[in-house]
Amino acid sequence: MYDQKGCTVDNLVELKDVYFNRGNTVIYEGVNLQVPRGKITAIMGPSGCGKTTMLRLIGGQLKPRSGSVDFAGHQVPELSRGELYELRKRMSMLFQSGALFTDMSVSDNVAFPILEHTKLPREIVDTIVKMKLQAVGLRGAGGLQPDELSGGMARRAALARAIALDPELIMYDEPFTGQDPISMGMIVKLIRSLNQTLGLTSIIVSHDIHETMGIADHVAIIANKQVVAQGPPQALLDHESALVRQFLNGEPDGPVPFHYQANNYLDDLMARGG
Amino acid sequence: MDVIANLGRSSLNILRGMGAALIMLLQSIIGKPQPRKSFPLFMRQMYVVGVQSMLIILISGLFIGMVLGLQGYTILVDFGAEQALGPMVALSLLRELGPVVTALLFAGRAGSALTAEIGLMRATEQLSSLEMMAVDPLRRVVSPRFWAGFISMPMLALLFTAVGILGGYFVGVQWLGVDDGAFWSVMQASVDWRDDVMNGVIKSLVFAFVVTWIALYKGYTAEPTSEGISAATTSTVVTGSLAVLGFDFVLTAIMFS
Repeated sequence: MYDQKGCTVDNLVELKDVYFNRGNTVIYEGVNLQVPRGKITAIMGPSGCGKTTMLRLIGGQLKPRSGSVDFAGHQVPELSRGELYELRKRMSMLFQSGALFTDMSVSDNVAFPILEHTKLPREIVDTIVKMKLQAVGLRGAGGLQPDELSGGMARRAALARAIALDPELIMYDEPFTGQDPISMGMIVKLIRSLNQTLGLTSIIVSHDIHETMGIADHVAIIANKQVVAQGPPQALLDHESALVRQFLNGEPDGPVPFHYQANNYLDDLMARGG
Repeated sequence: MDVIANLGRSSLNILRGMGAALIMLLQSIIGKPQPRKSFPLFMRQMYVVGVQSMLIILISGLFIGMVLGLQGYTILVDFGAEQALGPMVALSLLRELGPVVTALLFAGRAGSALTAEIGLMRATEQLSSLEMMAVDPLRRVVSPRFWAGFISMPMLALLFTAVGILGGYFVGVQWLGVDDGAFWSVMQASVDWRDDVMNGVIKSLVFAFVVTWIALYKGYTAEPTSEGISAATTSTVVTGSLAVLGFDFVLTAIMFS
């Protein structure tokens, strides 16, 4: 893997030849993906192509049928339950819904992973919580309950919780979906600044092309059960594949047809009429 | 042939479900104890599952005891045997009604709430997010609720029985005029600690185990949609109640025959 200057970059996460089924539905057939360390990697693709599944494979919540999922030198699918939980302390995930615990205040939500995994005294935990909330601009909202937050605030609070233990990798599941332009702007800014200041590796799963292409260093596009293209955003915009261009330019028809597979239109109408 | 195939398929599904439920239970209760973390969670669940179910249990117990007093009196008085009202009320409550009705009410009140709560935690990705924070949801969410249900239900059944006997006393002695001394002394003479009280408690422990287990499993495996959670909640009450009645027959046959 090389960056724009041609220097080698090591990968924090690497998927090789991954096959995955959900029931009888094939989701992936031979997926290869590299996530360079310290960069923002975007995973994009049409709805239902299994973008979130990719995050769950990396987090070890799902196991591939075959192939390797490597996180910082560990084979995630081969880890025991205990080793997997140990490894998960080094990664973090921001869920689409935020997934804040509804029976705790915002501060307690952020304090939760710290209290679970460290033996720090409560005063220090409270200080860390304030710093994390300050980073997402919600220090004043620490005493609120999750149901008192707007959608954008809930996602930022969940982000504060996700960075509470200073993970190496943070995975964002559809961070921009359903956000108004202001909170969208805030989240874009946060993802970028957290990545730079904390030296995180970030993976964004999204189909919001404009926002995602704007902040990503590396983009992978999933379609037809595979990664059809990956590389720097600029390189993908004029990719030779018609499918990639259709997706990135948002064209309604192309390799992904506008019409769902159906019989001949005329025959269908005549059959009904007759 | 289809009938046989379907029968086989559904039996396999039931067995698979039971296996999965057993694995879930074992994974949540077996492991290194962490009293500092788990005790506050357990106490909180004791409050939610146990204390908050007390009102319905106490009121039902009182009314069932009063009805027993009334019904028992009208039957016994024809034979001039109203002195036997005390043991009749006490034995029916200790051996049967206390454990069984408490378990049925518990399935409806606390069991359905447990299923809905855990099902919603799954639907809102709270369980996934616990997993990703390296916190085992089975230990954190399922285990304290299991112990709280398992321990609180027998206590609730004893309260139900005690209040029921008081209800029978009010109706039989205070209202209908059965002799006070006879009511209590015949009861004391005919109720056996091991055979009646302990067997009732054992029944209650079995029901508590089954109902709580079913409620947690149904919630943990609920489809993360509104229909899924509603179906899981209904299924907790139906399966839980039927299991209680089935086990009650088996246990009664073993204990009292």
